[in-house]
Amino acid sequence: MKIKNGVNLHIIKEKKFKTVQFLIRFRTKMSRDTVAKRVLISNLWETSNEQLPTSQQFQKKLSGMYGASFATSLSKKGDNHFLTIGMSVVNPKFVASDTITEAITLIHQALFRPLVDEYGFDEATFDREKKNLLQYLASTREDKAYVAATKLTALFFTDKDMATPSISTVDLLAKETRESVYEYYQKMLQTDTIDISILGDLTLSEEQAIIAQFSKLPFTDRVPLANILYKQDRASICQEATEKEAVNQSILQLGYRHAVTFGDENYLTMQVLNGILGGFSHAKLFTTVREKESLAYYANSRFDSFTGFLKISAGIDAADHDKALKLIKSQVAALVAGDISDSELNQTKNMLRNAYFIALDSPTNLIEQAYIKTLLPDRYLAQAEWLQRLADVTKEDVVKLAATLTLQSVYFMEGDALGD
Amino acid sequence: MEIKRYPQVGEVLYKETLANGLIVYYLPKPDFNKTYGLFTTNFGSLDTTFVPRGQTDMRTFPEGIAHFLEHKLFEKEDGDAMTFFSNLGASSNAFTSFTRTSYLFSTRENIDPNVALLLDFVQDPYFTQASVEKEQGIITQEIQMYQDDADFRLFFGLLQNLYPDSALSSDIAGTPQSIREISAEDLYDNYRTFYHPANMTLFLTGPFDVTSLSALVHQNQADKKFDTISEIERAPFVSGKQIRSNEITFDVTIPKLALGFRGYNKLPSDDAVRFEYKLAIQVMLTMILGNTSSQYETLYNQGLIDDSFGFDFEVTPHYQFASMTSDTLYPTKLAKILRETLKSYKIESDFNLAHLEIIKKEMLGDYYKALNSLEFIANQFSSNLFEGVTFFDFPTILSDLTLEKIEHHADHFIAEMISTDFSMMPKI
Repeated sequence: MKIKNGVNLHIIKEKKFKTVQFLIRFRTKMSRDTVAKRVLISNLWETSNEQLPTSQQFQKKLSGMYGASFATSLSKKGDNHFLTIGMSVVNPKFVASDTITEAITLIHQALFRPLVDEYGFDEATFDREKKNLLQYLASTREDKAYVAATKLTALFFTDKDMATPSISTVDLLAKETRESVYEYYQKMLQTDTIDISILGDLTLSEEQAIIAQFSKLPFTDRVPLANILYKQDRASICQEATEKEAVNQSILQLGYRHAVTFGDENYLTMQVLNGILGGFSHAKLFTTVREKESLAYYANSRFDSFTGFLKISAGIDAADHDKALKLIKSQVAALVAGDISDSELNQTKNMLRNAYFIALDSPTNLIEQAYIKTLLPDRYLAQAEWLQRLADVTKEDVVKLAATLTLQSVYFMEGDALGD
Repeated sequence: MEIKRYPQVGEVLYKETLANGLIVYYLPKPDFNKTYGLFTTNFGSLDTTFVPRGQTDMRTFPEGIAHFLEHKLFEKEDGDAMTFFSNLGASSNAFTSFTRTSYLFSTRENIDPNVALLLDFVQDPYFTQASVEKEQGIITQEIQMYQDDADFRLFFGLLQNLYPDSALSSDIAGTPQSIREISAEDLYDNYRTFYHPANMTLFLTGPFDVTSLSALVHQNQADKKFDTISEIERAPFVSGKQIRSNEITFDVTIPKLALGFRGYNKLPSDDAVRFEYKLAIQVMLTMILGNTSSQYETLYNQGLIDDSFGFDFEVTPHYQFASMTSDTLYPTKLAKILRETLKSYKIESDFNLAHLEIIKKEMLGDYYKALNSLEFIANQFSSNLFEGVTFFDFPTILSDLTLEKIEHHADHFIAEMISTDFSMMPKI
């Protein structure tokens, strides 16, 4: 339901969980100008507010609410940037305490009563959180898989905003001040598209109370952000980079462009294609690169239907670079050549169908599904249709789609070769 | 069949022990789509020296053999067990810890054939020298991947200081060198010793009918032949004296500190008291160092710790230690403060009844959250430390915990513990 223009409330009643989940999502266009501000806001939200000015007070409040969790996160979907508060509380029926109202009160305080003075966010708090974030961003280079993924993304996307990590960078963050972030915060509160989702085993009166309490919060009308899907033109040149790092394991990543968007006629074909290529343990990449040639512990693929990006990753020994690259490319070529057995096709469909149902046991996924349904109502596939389209995918469909994959970027993090 | 009802958490648990010694748990979850099965043997990376079944002398096997065996069990004469699960629409996996090896599947379809497959593939070993050699490349890459992970290296650096010259200080997967020494015959010796049903547990949870699934498990096991049940002779866990302090340089941006406290006191023999002991120390640490404590707030505000700060208390029949880790610019100063805080826990301003009540609420809430995860529940039941007490008894034991009980257990631990620290410094 609509609370205000561009502010929506989604209530999902689901009996099987012992918790009630809250997800409040702020959404705007991905931009290098705002991404660092949003990252700082996410940290400030979970540190303090006017009522709970120190993080110890904040944490004691959460503990006293039967270990409620309050966690913020940043992510990208298509060309949108998401800033999210996730809260989870025990269902009131287990603890005889109104955890739901307490959670809404805390959300209210976090959003509308931040710890500020006349200039901006509280100076000591802001400085400390900025310093910690700078330190954290600098240390992301220790996570080699993250580094490789970021580099591949940067090589793949021609648009600078799209190439920027959702948690920003040291350079972008360094420029921000408590004033600049607070000024942006007020604007963000008024202009971002907001979706509030609540999932749990709720009674009717709890549901009504939730609606009443959220309707009372001082949200204002705004113009909802309509677009989310991002498409990049095919480039004629493949961007390649090799960088030396002092690592034991080298990482090889390939970025392919595809033209499938969420929910379109090829959406399920893409699911099957990715499954056969590298989505499962019976997939081509796993069985050749790992099982047959013993080159890797992991070799997989995944795709994004909001940006047209398909990524292949493998952790290998530096000495095996040429062999592994050739082998990976040959697996994509095999799809194009129609080298797909009936059992590969059927196993993949079975696995996708099972994964679809098993995902219904996850609160996060249920919220995600409901959200996409409101985000892209024309593209959302209801269960029956999803299953039917999956069943209808043929080998020919997969082959045809595979022919449209174009290699756009290759990144190699080259470590030391294992001496024999 | 034993039936235990836990109205406080809304669960009913069924347990039976088969004639061949296998313990089976059934936890029906009618609202769920997923059925999850976890088949566990009481055999992990620590078990490298023992008397192989049918032999008389202790033998020592290469490090990483339990994990190697886990990988190789998936390979069958007619294909790969993961593929057999895929054919049934299920996903499967396995993992090895210091003390256990577990095999699992999750599925929505074909529950009965999947349960049978889980039992069959684990209970039908097939190793050849050629396939053993092929696996060495894959596992070498797995080892190398973790060697690049700073937090993994920090944890094992700490263990090497706490328990030097013991299997606990080695990577669960072994080293590229040690796994090259493993032969197919070694795998069979290990398999025959540790994969006897009497050394194993099966945990099944999902929307199934308990009676018919139990009949399937009974029939499946009755159709197979096993050796008679016999006690496994494992070498006692031995370790050198802890190393007091040590550091390495590594590719990190700011230093990492790991502080460990090795316990030397005898563990309570009663299951319920041992469970209470573990919980008591965890609660004590949370009271004085958790993010609701004044000490945490002070250290955080002073920039001595950041969000990476964490602590833990590990107890098994072989060893017990508390650990604290953080990224910090001041490892020496932080280590000193943390040591003193633990030793004088009783005079810490946060060690009081009001704070205990808050921590209890938090832990109870976290417990209910964990109950959303079938995987988590299954893992808890497959650990064999507390046979007489189950995971579902947690709310009662927590609620009965008093400041006096915590002091009693904590004094016991602290009186005998010896501390060690391990730091990781950036390369200059």
